[in-house]
Amino acid sequence: MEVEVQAGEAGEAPAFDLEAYAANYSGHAKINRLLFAAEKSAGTPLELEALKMAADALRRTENTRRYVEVMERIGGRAGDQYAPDQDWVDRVERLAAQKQDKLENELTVYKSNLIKESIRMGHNELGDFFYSRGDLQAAFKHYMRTRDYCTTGRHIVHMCLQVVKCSIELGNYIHLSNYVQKAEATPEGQADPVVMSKLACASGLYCLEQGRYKAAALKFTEVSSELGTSFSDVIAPQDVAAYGALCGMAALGRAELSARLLNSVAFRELLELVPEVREALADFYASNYTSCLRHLERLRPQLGLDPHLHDHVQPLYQAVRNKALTQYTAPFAALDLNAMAAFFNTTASGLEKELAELISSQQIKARIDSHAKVLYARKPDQRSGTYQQAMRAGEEYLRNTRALLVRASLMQHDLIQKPAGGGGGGGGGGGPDRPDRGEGPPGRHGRHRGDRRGDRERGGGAGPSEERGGFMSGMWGKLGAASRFGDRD
Amino acid sequence: MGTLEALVAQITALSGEADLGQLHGQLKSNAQDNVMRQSAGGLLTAVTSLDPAAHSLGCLHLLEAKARTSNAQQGDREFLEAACRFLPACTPHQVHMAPEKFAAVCRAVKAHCLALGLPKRGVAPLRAAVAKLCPSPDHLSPIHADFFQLCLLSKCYGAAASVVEADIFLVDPARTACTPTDVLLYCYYGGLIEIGRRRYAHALELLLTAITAPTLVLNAITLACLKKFTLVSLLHAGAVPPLPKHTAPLVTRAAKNECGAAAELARLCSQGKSAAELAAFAQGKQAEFQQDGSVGLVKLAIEGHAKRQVQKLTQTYLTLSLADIAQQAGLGSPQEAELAVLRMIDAGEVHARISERDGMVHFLEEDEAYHSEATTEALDRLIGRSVELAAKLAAFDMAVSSDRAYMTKTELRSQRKADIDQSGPSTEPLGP
Amino acid sequence: MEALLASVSQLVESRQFDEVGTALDEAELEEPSTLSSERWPHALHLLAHVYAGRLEDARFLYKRTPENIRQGSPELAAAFALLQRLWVKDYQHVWAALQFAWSAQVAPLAAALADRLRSRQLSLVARAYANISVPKLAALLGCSEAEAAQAASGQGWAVGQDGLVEVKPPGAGAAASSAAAEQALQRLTSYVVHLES
Repeated sequence: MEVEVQAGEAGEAPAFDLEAYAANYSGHAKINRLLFAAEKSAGTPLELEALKMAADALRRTENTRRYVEVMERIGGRAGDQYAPDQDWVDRVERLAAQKQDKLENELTVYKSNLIKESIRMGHNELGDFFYSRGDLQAAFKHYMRTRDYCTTGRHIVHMCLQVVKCSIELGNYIHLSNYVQKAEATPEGQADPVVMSKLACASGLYCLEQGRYKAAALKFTEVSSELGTSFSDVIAPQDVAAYGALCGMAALGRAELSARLLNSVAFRELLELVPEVREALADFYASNYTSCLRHLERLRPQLGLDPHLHDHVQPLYQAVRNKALTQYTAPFAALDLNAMAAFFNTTASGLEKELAELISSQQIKARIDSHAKVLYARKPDQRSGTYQQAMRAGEEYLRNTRALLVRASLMQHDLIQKPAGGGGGGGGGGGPDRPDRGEGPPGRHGRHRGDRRGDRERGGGAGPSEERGGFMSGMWGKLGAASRFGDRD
Repeated sequence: MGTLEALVAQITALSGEADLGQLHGQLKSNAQDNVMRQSAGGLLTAVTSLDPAAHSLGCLHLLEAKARTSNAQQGDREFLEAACRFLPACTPHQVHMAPEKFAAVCRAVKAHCLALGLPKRGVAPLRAAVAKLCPSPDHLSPIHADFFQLCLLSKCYGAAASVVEADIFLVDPARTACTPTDVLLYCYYGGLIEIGRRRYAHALELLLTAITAPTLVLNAITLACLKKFTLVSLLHAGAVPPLPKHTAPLVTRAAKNECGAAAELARLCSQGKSAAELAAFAQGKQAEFQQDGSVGLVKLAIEGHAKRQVQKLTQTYLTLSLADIAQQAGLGSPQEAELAVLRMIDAGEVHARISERDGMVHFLEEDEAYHSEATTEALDRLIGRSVELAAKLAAFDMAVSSDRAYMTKTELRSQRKADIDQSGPSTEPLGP
Repeated sequence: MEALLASVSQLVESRQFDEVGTALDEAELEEPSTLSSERWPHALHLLAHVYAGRLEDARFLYKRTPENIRQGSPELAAAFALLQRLWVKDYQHVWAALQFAWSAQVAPLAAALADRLRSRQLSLVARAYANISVPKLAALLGCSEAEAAQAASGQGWAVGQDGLVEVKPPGAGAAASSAAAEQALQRLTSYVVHLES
């Protein structure tokens, strides 16, 4: 691998080894990832290769629908060896129909006998059956139904894990955190590091999906290396390392990065599986941003094929880059943009735009001398800051106090707009016109609307003395607050 | 008794300091009211025969009686002239005895001005009337709103300056016959005047007073204030601040749901849409803005956008070429950018120095403005005003805490609390 | 009207231009229809507001002036054109708008206004420019290039190698009216002492 990195520095990114990639996964994850990779590399040789491998994998399952789909996508491009095998499809479907009948009949019998454990098993087997057929909705439904028949913690953990697995594959995360929590609460789950790791993976994926990178990073770092390949039908340990590291670089502070990622024995073991990511992370922490960004650039094509990461590569990379820029500028009072641009592998004007974004979003406290291409740190002038603050506080105090006095006076004299001429209305004189424009006035009397009846009733209910008492106590708080503020000023 | 002549004679006789109370009682009586109503035709002649300063209370009643009988829809020039002569000349402490009548006469003056199409005629008299009726400059009267309205209609915005710039703190219906609607109209018309005079900060303060005024119903005036408040905030600060917590919930709701196009424009601004997109939106809602009389404000708010863009640049850049400014702020050319920056410097909206040699703009930290004696003075003034206000606050505090109703209330409450405290433990032993 | 006109020309003569606008405003409110009179000094009224820096008041004055008067008075039209240039801060064309054969009644005010604008512009240039070409300075000040160069040297601004005028930023208001500032400082100190104790 080291050799490859060396070679990579010369130019091209290393070729993507699809076979090695697919070997990390089993079951649905393998097929889904291959198909996703095919979709994202449409038109390249990689697409066909991925489709062929997916087809091979599907032949070993009962998921005929998926098989037919893949065959259509291959469309005869891969020779006779990958021609649709209708006989196989028919045979598998016949067997599946028989199996479904059998399982459903059994379940009916169990249900009439009211034996909890049997019913649970029945639903579970049907869940497994539909899962293997690729009907995730039906599988999800049956796994959910086992819920009422769980009698031990182990059952609950099993049920939760199956539901979680289906949720992730369906991309439907609504129930996920519920079931993760439920499983985490069982003593059996807590005692089993593999179960806890699986649950942490699931939560991490959920946070990643939502773009909560910090939470995702923290979740992924909870995964123990004991996970191994036990969850490979959902996620590989390599993924945990890559997701965790990327999210960590993007969203964690230096201290957390060091404690949760670099100095965590468990996570370091995971990182060993993905040397390029490990290098990027180490470089990032060592402020070796040129090298870090180069590693990341080389990872980009591969990460783009990842179904969970695909949508987040851009924002994550942007966040990492922004953090790198921010950290790089932090110690300088003045900084040559040309040198910095070279360091970050960009042009001075491109860098200027990036920095301008960061300054206007207040991530960097500095100002750009666009003429001399120098970035100057902004040293807060305490004296002016204090003046400015004092003036602003003073003006605000005056404004608030004036408003308070008017309001208090209005309440004291009960000058409150009330429904149907209660206290409002007043003197004769025609409705005032909207001045200057000579059309309809904003009416002398309140516009009493039907849908405000609730307010009207509430107002009517409170007698005048009630009103007054309420005002008094309310105002005291305000007066107190204002005079406290006055002292400070 | 029973004739107008007798009444006039009585007024003349009883206008001495000591007899005013008696005169007031007389004038209020039903008998005299009937006399005045029956001899409506002669009322103005009677007023003319009296001295407005010496016989203010009498004149006031006569004029008010006349106002009730004359047709405000058509307008009565003679009444208007008589009232306009009376208002600047009358004696405050006499008219203070009948604030409702005084407010009614003023309102009639406004109504007749409008009916006759002579809004300017009433400006000076009502300005005088405001000063006559208010026990102190801190007080709000119902005349304020009418006065502002005449100023707006006659386009004499400058004439309103002294009144609109004075802060009001007190309403006192017993002494000024002020109603809740008068308060809202004062804020609305005052706000419009300040918008016209481009004193936006004060306009916002006035509008906000209307918006946060305690209310149990949603008033059309409040709604109009909300719309103006939204647009003026955009134009003045580029964003609309959240309404204060003590705003009545139904008003807060209305701000979200019933301000339509104005609220939508604010939303677009907060999303950082370009000036062109904003203009396109405003064009689409032209009819709605027109109906609110806000087309001008909308245009200004959108124009302010480029300005704010430049201001943002000053936060980011130390120097920047005019060409880059033009591009980033959406201005046509470097020349246009130079002019825009120059105008902003002129208005004190940005601190910068243009170098013609290399076409660069050097943005200065505005901080430098603070190291001056002017700052010290401003701070001193600010504290002075704070102290003044704090005194008012303390006085109000005093007044409330010695208020009878308040004391009864708190007394009752503490009594009730004591009762509960006593009965509380005694129920304990009753338990199992 | 006669008395008013006399008192106004008194103000103009004694160069109390700032008070002309307010005086005329008040007179107008006393006799609301007077703006329709052709004898009313409309242009003077408008320019007086401009001179006092109350552009808004000048604008509303024009708005409330009857249409026939607006049409009938070229001088008022010229004053309004000047107001428009100032309103939009069209610095260069302000000067062209000032070039008008003002009547004897208005001329002193117009001249004073030009002086005031010129010194305002000069202080604006001092704040806004680090260096400026002589032609641009002339355009902003509304004068010939020679006069502009003279104005620059009057400010102590030197002309650089490339012919650009090096503008010196306005001095930091050194030691001006320090007595008042000291008084303010004194009061501030006593506030602080009061708060600390």
